[in-house]
Amino acid sequence: MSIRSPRALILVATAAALTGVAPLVLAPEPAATSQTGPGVQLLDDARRAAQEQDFSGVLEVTWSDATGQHNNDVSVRSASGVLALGDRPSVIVEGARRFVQGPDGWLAVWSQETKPDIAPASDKWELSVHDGPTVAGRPTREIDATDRRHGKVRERLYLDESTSLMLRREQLDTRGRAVRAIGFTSIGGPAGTLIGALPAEAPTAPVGSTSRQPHVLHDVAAPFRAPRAAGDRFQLVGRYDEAHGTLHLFYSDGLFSVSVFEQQGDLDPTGLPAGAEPRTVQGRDVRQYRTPGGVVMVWQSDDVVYTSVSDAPVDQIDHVLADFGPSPSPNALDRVTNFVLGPFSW
Amino acid sequence: MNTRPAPDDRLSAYLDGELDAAERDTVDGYLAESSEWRAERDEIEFARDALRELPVHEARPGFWEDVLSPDVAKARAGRRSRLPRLVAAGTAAVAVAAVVVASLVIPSPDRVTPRIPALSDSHAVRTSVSDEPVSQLAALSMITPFRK
Repeated sequence: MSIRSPRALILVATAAALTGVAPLVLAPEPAATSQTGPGVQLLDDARRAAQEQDFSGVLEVTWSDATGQHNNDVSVRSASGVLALGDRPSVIVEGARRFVQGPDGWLAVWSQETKPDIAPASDKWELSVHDGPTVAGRPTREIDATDRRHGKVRERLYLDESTSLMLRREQLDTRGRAVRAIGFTSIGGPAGTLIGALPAEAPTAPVGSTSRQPHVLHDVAAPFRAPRAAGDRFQLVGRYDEAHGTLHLFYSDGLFSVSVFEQQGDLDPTGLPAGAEPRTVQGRDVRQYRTPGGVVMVWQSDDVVYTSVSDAPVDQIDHVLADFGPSPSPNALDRVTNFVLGPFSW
Repeated sequence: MNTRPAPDDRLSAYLDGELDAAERDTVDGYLAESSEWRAERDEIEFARDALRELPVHEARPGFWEDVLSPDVAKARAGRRSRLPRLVAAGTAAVAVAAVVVASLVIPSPDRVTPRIPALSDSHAVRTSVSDEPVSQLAALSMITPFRK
């Protein structure tokens, strides 16, 4: 076939040029090469070490909120595969089982093994490993998790050089300031005792407990929603039915996690804890709490009250909110119902 | 000093021939001296002529009987106006019933206050299963103003 018309030639040339350019324009952001390098390996080692190593120590938890910086000490003991936190203690870990001290005794709050279906942290974060500072008198290996898009370190983790026990982790804001930290101020036993020595009082799992475990859900019905991905590459890895008709969605990006709780109804803010910081996120009014465990946000969309809890940086959580906004468009019945009942605020 | 009044009802009476001689002379004087009086007179004449040119139709049979029998006309008027009232009342009743039924059938949203400390605990517990447990669970053993 020959093309004689100049106009046709221009069209063909334009199409050919666009064809060549299209892959560059349309191609998604180059996916980070999935790596399971030393950073990912060390993180896995740290998860196991907390339950496999025998040790005792004191943790210091530091966090900031609108009223300033706070810190609190927590004693930790681990022996023969049982980990205990708190002086009484108030939390016990044994394998996949989790027990929390309630007002009337121990509550069994978890017992299920989870599938290791979470993408490695290195898929999203650049993990660099190097020698770290001494923490609680012990040399460490430091893992820096850097945001690939902005080149900012957002989390620093310090692991015991010999046992891989996580001795400290710090979360940084976009300007590099530590906003939350948790780390051992002392670890081991009496002077000279190394990690590996049994604590004086070895913790044990409770003999009796009351089950308060959530149920695994396979489907989510309206008005609730459960997007398979949220925010910046947070993947849905669990759906649970909590008490009081609360849906619990659990997301992870391999390094941080976000829980989104959904409850049907209108938000009644009168019973919320004091200290909320009002914010506008993705066009929504949000009440935000900065707590020792992370950031909590509460907001309402349609007839659902959402509560997110996360150890991720705030800007990461903000993106998650975008996936829990108003429904795209109400159906005809909803529109009629809203029209009729709207004036009565029903 | 000008004592001539503004045009008034005497113009209509003037055109209808209802004024006595003295009044008629007075109006004639106003019309001779005042363009305002003359303009008003022309407008009234135009309106009277227009009305006279409207077609005249015969009244329908029984019209005058109705007009002259107020009781009958009133009764008929009552029958005619009752139907729209019934329709309006029925529509209103249906609307009220729909709202009442809707309020019973469509559940009104509950007032919800998330139990934030409990939800935070649930998150920490779930996270501790797939992440390093010590750092994730430490907050559960803390007594803070937030957790009360």
